[in-house]
Amino acid sequence: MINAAPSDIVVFPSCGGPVKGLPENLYVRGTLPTGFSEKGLGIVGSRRISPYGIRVLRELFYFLKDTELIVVSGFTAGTDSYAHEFALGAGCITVAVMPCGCDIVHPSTNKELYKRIVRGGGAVVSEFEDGFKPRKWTYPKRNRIIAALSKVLLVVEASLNSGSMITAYFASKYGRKIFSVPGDIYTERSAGTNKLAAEGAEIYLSPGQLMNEMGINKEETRRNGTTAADDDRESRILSVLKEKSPDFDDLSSETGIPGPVLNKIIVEMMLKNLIFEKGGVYYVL
Amino acid sequence: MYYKVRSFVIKGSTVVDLDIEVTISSRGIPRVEVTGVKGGECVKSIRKIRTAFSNSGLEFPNKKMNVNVYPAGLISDLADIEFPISMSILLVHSGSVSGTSDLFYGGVDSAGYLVPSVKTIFMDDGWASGRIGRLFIPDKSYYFNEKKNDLNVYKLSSLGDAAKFFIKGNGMTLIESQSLSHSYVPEIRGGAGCFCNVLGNARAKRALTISISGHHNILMLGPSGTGKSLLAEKSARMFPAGTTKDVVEILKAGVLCGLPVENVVTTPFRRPHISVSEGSLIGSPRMPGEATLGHKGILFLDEMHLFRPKVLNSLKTVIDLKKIEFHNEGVPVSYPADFLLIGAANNCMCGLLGAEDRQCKCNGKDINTYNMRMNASLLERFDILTYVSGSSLEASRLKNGEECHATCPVREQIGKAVSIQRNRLAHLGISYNSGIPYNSINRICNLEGDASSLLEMTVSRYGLSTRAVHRILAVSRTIADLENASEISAAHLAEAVQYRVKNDKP
Repeated sequence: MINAAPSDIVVFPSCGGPVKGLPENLYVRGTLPTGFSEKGLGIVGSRRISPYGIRVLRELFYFLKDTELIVVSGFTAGTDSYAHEFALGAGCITVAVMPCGCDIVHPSTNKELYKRIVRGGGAVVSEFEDGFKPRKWTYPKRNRIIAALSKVLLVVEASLNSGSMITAYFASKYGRKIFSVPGDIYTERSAGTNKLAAEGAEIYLSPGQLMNEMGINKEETRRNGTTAADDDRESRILSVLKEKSPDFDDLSSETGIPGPVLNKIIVEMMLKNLIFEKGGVYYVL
Repeated sequence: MYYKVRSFVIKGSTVVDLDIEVTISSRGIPRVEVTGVKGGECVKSIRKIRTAFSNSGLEFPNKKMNVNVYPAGLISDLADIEFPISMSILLVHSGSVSGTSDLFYGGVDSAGYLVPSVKTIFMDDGWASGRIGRLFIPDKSYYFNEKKNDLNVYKLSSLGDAAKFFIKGNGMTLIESQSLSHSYVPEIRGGAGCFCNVLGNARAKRALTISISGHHNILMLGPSGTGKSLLAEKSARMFPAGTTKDVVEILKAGVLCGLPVENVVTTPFRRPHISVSEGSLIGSPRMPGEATLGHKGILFLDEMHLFRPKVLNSLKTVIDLKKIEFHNEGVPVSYPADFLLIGAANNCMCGLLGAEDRQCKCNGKDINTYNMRMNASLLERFDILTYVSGSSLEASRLKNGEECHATCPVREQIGKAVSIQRNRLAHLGISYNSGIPYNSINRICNLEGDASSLLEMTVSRYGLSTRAVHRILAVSRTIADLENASEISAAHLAEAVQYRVKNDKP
């Protein structure tokens, strides 16, 4: 999708001291916010986000609601799209850095998201002129801009040779704080984040850590079964869901709640945003 | 000498009137000339009629004759109107005067016997109303007359009998026929087998029970090898027995598709292959497709995402209208297609996404491309979406599936729910909750207090379309009917919401 009007050209925003190797100008659609050096939160991760990754982001943005952070990410499918979506949902400003001219919606399946980012007071930026097609080498270049615009970088899930690892490399080069979400040591998509943790990145354990780092003073009480659940059956469901992600039949047999009753409780819990369902499997928020 | 009889041909399911005019010239070389027919096998048909006359001991006039079919160009062979042609030749030769309102239909074999026809099934009450007089059709032809019209139907077995009745007048009495010919009543299948012996998958079985009870289209998603196809096949055996009207409709659909009547079953189960073309799934003006073969039964599309996108898209209007309409050479053709659609699909191309112990290796883009094959508007036409995980936990716990012996409780439950629906909806001319029209949905689906507040919350949380709300109400009505509840409770509604395809974006 090519928009008729050309993109604005602005001077590369200040991001905590002079950094070598960055472009002088950026092409911008929307309004580029200021204050990246205080409020910039970069979020990167795998294109194939797992329910675990979604849960991490959901929880984080539950606490980041109505904070004045700028969420910077790369607009591609998976973690990036979720980061933008959640940021918009939480009322944060979000900036998408493109590996191509910012008149090109890449990937094109995200065209609705593109509109909402711009409408939500955020911006789509790129160092490439309008009409520039994405190439293999433009992705690492894009990643260095994400790293530069972030005060803190959160790596949700990454395999060893992924773009997220390149972003993390630039972030450490620019002296940014990196949070890495630890995962299963046998899973490919957590291999990169675990490696980052081993090499000295901060291990992400709760949203509170990240909020402290960003200078947000907001009470963080992680929701757990005992406080949020209204009755015994809801807490039984939550305690099962904290252990694993069962489907309906398993949830019914694990909690001992018969199907017809379980249906009603589940829908109510979904409406209360306590749990969510994806692909027939239930997850706790 | 001139004689005219009335007849008709059956094109698709439409009965088209014809006039057959025979003129015998007193001069000229003896021969039979047929006009008004496109090409075809007229000469052979006339030769056969001639043989039939001599084998019946009747005299075929040795004169110059013209047989004209009006309107011209409507038919291309005489197969179905040999009997009326024979009658007009017989009557003109005997010097009768035309002007009666008798109707004839059927073919003749060379021995002089009339050939039973199944196409007469389309001469139903709708067609017969407003017609008067006598209708003569071959014996053993299918004819079902509820006696709501003034047409008297007689079945004749041979040309000789017809001659006796019309010409010799030697007191032969004809029996008026009202019942359908029993040789064509399909065997009512059922009683054997149910899906209770399929391992685990309680959720999917429950969803299928609701789907069958209320005729709600269902989509089963899940990794390969979890029993989706098995469950769909077994569903056909759980189907409630149809009413007589349904049986007639199934028979009509079978006849339309050229199926031998002996092969028509009461619960059609069609499972077209993924390579099926639009023409063979939906049908063409000349020939109905799988959709019609599945009329009043099940159309099962396995690996639904892999069907051609064009074919899937053309299915949408069929699902909505429950019939397919064409025009064939000026004659409107309508094929019935009121099927229960059961779809089954994997979550991704490799088929392993969602499997507990096997890792899917598709990347996000591939999964997106795969899911895009079935677009949102088609997904919305499924009232029930269920995931079949083939939970290994359940499978290891049970050594054998529980077999139902004499009576299956689920089948009984379905039967009861179906009779409740038929009673409630009879005045609307529908038999299942899935067909409840928009304007009666609120009257029929009355919600309990907490159910309506739950519905409001769901609508605002998921941003559901009007159609989605309508479908949720219809499904929850069926769930309530399965429990013989008069009002829809919050639990019923919650279950229906669970089955809805929701757009749960963050």
